[in-house]
Amino acid sequence: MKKFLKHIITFIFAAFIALQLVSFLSLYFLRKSHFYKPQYVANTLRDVQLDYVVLGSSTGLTTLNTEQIDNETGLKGFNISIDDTSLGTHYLMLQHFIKNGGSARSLVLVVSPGDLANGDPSISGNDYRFLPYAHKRYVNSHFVDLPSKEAAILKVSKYMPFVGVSYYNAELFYPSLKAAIEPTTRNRFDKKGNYVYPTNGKALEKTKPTKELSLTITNPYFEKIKALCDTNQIKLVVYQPPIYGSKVLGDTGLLPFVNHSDLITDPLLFYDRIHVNRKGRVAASRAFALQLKNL
Amino acid sequence: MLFNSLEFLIFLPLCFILYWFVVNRSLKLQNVFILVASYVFYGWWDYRFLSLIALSTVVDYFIGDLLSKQDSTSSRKRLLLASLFVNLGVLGFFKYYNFFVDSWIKAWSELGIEMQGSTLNIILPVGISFYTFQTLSYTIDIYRKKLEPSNSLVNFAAYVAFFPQLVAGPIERATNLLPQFSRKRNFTFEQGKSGLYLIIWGLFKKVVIADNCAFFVNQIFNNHTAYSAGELWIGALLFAFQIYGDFSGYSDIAIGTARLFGFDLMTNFKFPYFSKNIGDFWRRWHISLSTWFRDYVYIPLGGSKGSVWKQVRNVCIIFIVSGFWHGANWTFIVWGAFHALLFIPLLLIKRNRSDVNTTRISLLDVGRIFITFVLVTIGWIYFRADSLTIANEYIMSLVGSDLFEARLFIKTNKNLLLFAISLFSILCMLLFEIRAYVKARAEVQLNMLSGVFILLCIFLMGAFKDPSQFIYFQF
Repeated sequence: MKKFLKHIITFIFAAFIALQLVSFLSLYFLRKSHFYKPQYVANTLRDVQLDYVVLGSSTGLTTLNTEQIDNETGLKGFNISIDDTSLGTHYLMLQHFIKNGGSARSLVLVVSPGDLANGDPSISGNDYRFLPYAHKRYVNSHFVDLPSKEAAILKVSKYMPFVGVSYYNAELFYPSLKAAIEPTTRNRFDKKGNYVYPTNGKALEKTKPTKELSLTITNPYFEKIKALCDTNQIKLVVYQPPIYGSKVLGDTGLLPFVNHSDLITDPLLFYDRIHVNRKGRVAASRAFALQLKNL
Repeated sequence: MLFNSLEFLIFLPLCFILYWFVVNRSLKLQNVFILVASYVFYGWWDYRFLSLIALSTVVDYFIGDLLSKQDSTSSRKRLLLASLFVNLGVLGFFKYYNFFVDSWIKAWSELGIEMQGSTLNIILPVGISFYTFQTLSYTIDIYRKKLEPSNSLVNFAAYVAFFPQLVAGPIERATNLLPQFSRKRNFTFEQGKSGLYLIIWGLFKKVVIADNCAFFVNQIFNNHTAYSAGELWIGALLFAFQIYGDFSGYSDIAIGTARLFGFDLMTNFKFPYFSKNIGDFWRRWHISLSTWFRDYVYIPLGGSKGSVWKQVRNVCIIFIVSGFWHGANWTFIVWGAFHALLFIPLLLIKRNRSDVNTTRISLLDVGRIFITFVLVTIGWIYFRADSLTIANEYIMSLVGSDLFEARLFIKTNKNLLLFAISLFSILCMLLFEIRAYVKARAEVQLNMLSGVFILLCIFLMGAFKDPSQFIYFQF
């Protein structure tokens, strides 16, 4: 038994060291790359003075084209949105942006009524993209705050990165191999942080009557974002992107609120009900650029 | 509790420590501990069905006891029938009731007669087919006077519910496993080490091969009409490796776990995809089930004795019953019949016992292995498809003109990655298996270095976010 226990301990130790080493290297190469948005933000926006940043989920990523807005306003902006995320991750991204030397005069927070009304937020699908920074306090405390298996996995990855790298092996380990070879490769976003849906999405039904959605803010992360903006003297602008066949009613108190929920009614400008396509993005960005000048 | 779950990762070392360091002073205590651990293991999934295991245990224990005391043939027959009635009755109700009601109604409706009948919303208890066959082997062997009844209910209950192999086998014979509960178990380094590495090897086959293949297999089989002939072929081939990785992976973990507790379970898979013909395949695939059917059904029917017609009949019965054992669906019956059709020519030319225990592979053998594998893979389509219509359509589509189209596997980066992982892991497994096969080993043997490599593969290639249940749990 003694021999077996010695053998098993040696085996576990050898496997542990090998896994930790591979995981450290994997996260290191990712951290040094431009692959995911958090890495791109950390590696390219340090000490860059921006006029505005767009922060949101997939709607933020695909509705406001910062390149077009910059051309139309003469301002300098960047899109720090990540798809498949919610206000919790937006708060984390804002902290990440600031802690890594980013600065902006305004933050355009792209919201959705469902996310704002979610009083019990949970981890988002793409939070693992912050794993290369799991050792940073603001990242780790984000995972500590959330109750889920995935959050627990990301939390323990601070000390045992192999746990997170293994669980998200397709999303972290293999991209890190690519990042090691081509560190400037970006994963589905352009140099200004934008992504666009094609114009050949599914056609939406035309006959739907306009649905009214009310805006209720109960998500605790909204207040946290607001407080962080106040602390860093960033002007917070809330932006509601177009939703096909819907109109959002309500306001955000004293905060500037650009409500473009019913801006676009042509179904050909949508990729699906909540995402505009390439043509829709042009229309939405133009309308927003006009408003941004006056804010 | 699943072998590839976090719960089991805690459960196994905890049981190991308690078993060897706390309850090791008494054999009886160790057996009680195994029994409790086994019930916890099973109850983790659904504690309500523990009553079925307990019922089967108590009934067979007392019938076994009574059988040993009876000399009259008719009384012994009655007792055996009682055991068969209870065990197969429970199995029949939970597994086959709805199938028979459905088939009955459909058969009459084909004749234009509408029959009334209602199916029940029955949950199939995990592993019922496995432990039912295990307890049956006990009473049948006592009836045949090949086994003395157990004199301890605890030992017998622990034998029936032994957690490593409770839910998906190997289906252990009472003659092999039950006596091990009466013997003092000593831990040996070699046994523990081989158990540990077998668990790791089994996990690799399940988490890396089976679960990654499942990603494509599920897509293709759920909507086969949307895919080209090339994609359907690859889908069928991936399923062949998925089911092998899934089921043999489970068996490896079960055997490895049992070894950690000082038990020796039978080999259940012996590199079946290196089989040179169908007869060889069935000596290597799910050995515990095929030998069970051989000993308790095929031989009592006359086996390979008697006229050619009788031999053919027996082969058909054994394969069809074996197919039906897997599930209450015509697809399994046709799968069994398909294998019978492949086996009968070998029987007729008296080649069904050829290639036993050979480890040499000549160039001709490579061709035979390939043909056998392709035939087995076509059979798996019936096994995997939801209905006979789907299976037939699938097979017909395999000969489409778009044989060299396989866009699904390169459609997205994720697909390409998972396909590459599937191919790499299959290749890796085959290389390890070829090495073991030519060395005439019964299983793949890992050492410290290869063990660490396989563990790295598990962590870096395993499908942890989308784990699928063990396929054989449903049987």
